Amino acid sequence: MSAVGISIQDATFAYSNSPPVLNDLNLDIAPGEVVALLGASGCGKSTLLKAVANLITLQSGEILFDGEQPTHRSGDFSFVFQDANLLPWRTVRQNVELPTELGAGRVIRGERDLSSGTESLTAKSEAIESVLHSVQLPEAAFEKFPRELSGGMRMRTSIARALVTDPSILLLDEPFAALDDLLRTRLNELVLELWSQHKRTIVFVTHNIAEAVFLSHRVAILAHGKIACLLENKLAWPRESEQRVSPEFAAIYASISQALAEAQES
Amino acid sequence: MSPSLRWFINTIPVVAVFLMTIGIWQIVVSVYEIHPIILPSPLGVFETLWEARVELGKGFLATGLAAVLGLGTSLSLGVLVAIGFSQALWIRRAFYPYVVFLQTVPIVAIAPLLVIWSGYQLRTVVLVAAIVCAFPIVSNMTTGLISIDQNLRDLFRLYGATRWQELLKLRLPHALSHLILGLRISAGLAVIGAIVGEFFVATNATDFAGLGTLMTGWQNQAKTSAVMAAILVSTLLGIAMLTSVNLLGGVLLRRWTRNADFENE
Repeated sequence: MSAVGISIQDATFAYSNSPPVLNDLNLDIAPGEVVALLGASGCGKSTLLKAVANLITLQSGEILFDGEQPTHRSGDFSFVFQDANLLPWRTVRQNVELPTELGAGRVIRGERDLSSGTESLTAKSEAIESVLHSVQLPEAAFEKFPRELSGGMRMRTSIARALVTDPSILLLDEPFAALDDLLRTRLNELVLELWSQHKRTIVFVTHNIAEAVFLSHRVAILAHGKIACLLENKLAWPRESEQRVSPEFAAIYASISQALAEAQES
Repeated sequence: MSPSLRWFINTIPVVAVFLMTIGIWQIVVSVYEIHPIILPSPLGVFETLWEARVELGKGFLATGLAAVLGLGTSLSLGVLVAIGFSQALWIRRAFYPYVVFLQTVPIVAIAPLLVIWSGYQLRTVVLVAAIVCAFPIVSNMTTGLISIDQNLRDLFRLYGATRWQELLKLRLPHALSHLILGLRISAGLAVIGAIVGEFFVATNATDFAGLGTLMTGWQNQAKTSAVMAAILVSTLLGIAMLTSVNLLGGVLLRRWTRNADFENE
C-alpha cells in the first residue's frame, strides 16, 4: 500500500472538565515522511496520535488522509504502544496473526485477500512468516508466549503485529521508552530499515531527543496544545549508526533540546 | 533449592503443629478422663473413622456429587451472568446488587424455603450449594471481563473488532485467570453449601446418605466421635475440590501466566 499524507487541521480536543489538550493544532505530514513528536509530559502528544488513529473524536477540526475523510480508511493505521501490549495467552505467531482475525478480514501485505479459502490461508501464513522475519525475530521465538520473551523481543513482536496489515501509516507511542539504550538503538535501526523498504508514513512520540534526531525527517515540538516549533532534521540519509557520534548529530540534538526548553518556557 | 525440597521444608512446620495438637489433645483427654461424649480422644476419632469408613466413603461421594453439581451450576450460570454484566454499566448497576444479595443472605434462612419449593431431593442440595458459591464466580468473572487495559481495547478498535470478537478474543481469555481465582473460593463454599443443604434434606438420590445427613443422625445419637470423623472427611472433601480447581487452573494457565499462586500451594 502506498504511503499516505496526513493533514491535521485546527484539531481541538479536551477530556471532560479539563482544559483542551489539543488547541487548534495544525500539522501537515507528507506521504512517506517520518515525524517525531516531542514535548513535555501531558502536552498532548499521545492524544494527537490517538486522534490520528481515530481512537478519539475531535471536538472540532479534522484530520484528512491524502485529502480524504478518515471514515473509510480505518485499519490503514497501525499503532505500537510503549509496553508491547501483547495478548499473554497467545504465542508470538498468534499475536502477530491477531489483526488479520479482527474486523471483516483484511488484505495483508500486498493484494492477497486473506479472509477466506485454503489458498489464502497459505498466503496468510507466508505473510506472517515474512513479517516475523522482517523484525528479525529468531524462529525459536515464534511459538513462545510473551512472558517467555525478553523486552526487546516483545517489542519486535509488537512491531510485527503492527506491520502485518501492511498499514500505510505507522503510529508509535513512545515505543522504546521501557527498553535499555542498547536495545533502543537496535530497534531504532530496525525502524529505519523497515521504513526504507516500504516508505510508510511514520509518526512517533518520544522523550528521547537522540531517537528523534536519528529517525525523523522533521521534529514537531508540542506545547500548550499546539505545535510550538517544527524543525527540519538535516541529518543526511541513509542514516547509519556512525552518524550518532558525528558533529552534525550533536548540532541537531542541541538545537532540538534548545527549542524544547524554549517551548516549555513560553 | 529444588521445588520438591522446598515443598518438603515448608511442610515440616505444618505437620509438626498437627502432631503437637493431636498429642496435647490425647494427653488432656487421658489425664482429665474427659467423657467421650464431651470430647473423644483423637485415637477414638480415628477408630470411629475406620469403623464407619464405608458410610463415610459413600457420604464423601454423595456430598461430593452435590458439591460438584452445585459448583458446575454456579459456574455455567455465573459466567453467563458475568458476560451480561460486562456488556453495559447500566446492566451492572441494575442487577449487581441482587448478586450481592446472594452473598449476604444467610443460606440457613432460605434453605427451608428451597426445600418447600424444590422438595426433599438431590436437586435442593445442589441448589443450596450453587447459591452459596455463586458470588465469587460472578464477581471475579465480571472483574476479569471489564478490567481490560485501555491500550488493548484501543488495539481491538483500531482493527475494527466487532463486539463479539472483542468478547471472544480479548475479554474471555483475559477473564480466565480471574475466574479460576473465584472458583478456588467457590470450591470450598460448594462443600459447605452441600452439607448445609443435607442438614435440611436427607437425600436418597444416590441411595446413600451425604456427610451432612450422617452428621445430623450421629448428632441425635450423641456419637461425638462419629460427628468429628465426618467433619474430618468433609474437610478432606473441601481440600479435594480445591486441589482439583488448582490443578485445572495450572493446566489452563501454566504457559502464559506467572502463576506464582498456583505454584506456591
